[in-house]
Amino acid sequence: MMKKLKKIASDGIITSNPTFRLVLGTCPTLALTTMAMNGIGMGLAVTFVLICSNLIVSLLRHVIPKQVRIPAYVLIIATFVTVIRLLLDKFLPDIYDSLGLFLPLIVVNCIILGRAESFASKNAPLYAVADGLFMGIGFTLALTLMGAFREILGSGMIFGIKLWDFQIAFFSSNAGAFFTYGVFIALFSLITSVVAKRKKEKTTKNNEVVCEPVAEVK
Amino acid sequence: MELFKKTWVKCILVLTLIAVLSGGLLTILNEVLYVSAAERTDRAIKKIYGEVKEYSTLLDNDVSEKIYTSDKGEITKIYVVGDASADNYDMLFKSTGYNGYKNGTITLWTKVTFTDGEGAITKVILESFTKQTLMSKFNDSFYQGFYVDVTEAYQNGDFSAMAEDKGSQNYNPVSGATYSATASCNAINVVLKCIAERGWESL
Repeated sequence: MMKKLKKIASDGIITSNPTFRLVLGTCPTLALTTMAMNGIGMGLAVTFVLICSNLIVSLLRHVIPKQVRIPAYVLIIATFVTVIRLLLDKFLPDIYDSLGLFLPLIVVNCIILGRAESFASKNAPLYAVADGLFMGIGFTLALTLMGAFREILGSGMIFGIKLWDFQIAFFSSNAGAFFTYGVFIALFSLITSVVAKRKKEKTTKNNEVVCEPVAEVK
Repeated sequence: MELFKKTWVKCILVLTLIAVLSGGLLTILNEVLYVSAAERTDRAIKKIYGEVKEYSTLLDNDVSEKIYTSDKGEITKIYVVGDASADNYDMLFKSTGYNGYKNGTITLWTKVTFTDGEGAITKVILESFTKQTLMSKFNDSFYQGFYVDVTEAYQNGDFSAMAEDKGSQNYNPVSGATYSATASCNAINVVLKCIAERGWESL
């Protein structure tokens, strides 16, 4: 069980990171990453919806007929998106205002429907919740990283705190969002491929060491 | 019982059940988490002053259904914070600017401080918006562009975010979000127009 949970965690945050590897949920990624705080707000809202919808979809996986599974999932997701909207409006109005139109648009976020269809509908509730949690963490980290990068370069601030007067307006623009996204995807791919290569080399080396005495015996 | 084994019946039942349960849950939560108009006003005042202050009402569309309108926008609430008979007091305007992105609107709270007969905009905060997608681009420095003497600002003409008004003294754009900036400017313009037309003493 722990091995599977570990795999779910590494898949959600690194191997199948929804933003940098699967390139899902690009609309909020591009539009909301002008500030790191927006990234955290959006990421946490998506995480809440992912966890709740994955849990319900997993619990109802033997009840929902496959012919109507997509409308059923959308109904479940829309319910939790409305719940998070009500909660944010009541308790965190500033984040509610800054997320604006993208909060109700979580309903059509590919990550949530994608995880409900590909994971939650085929796995037990515990694993479905873990998948929702770690996919959400992966999405939140990605948005926060991009938001921090763009906020520092685009407005010389981080989390609303002024660092310096130096600004490159390009990074606050739409073109800057695409550029930053491209750079981050490239960097993430580079880092993960280097890590995978080293891991492979290490495994090969270990195998060689193991093989030597066997050869001597022969 | 045979009927319930049919796929189409199962599909309808499951979808109906999910819809009814979702509806029930949301109805309860909506009751519990409802934010009233008075609570929203208190929030705006807290955002402006850092604390909740007492206020008196000059105009409130929720109470009297009266609003001030112009081609630029409308004012739905005017509150007075402090003693209006004294030399120093504030007026809070809740105004909605028209002509935003996709003909949407932006609603702002504007604090006008009156000191010894002179009025100046001293704080502008965002209340809400419709159809705007780039509101995250709007930071404090944009709203600070509206912090001017009200009479002087009105004489200088309307606030504008359009490129053709670049030479204007009241030019206040946001790069890449011109229409949303225009709606914000219009929300301020309607306040300036209201004060100029009615005279702040008779508001």
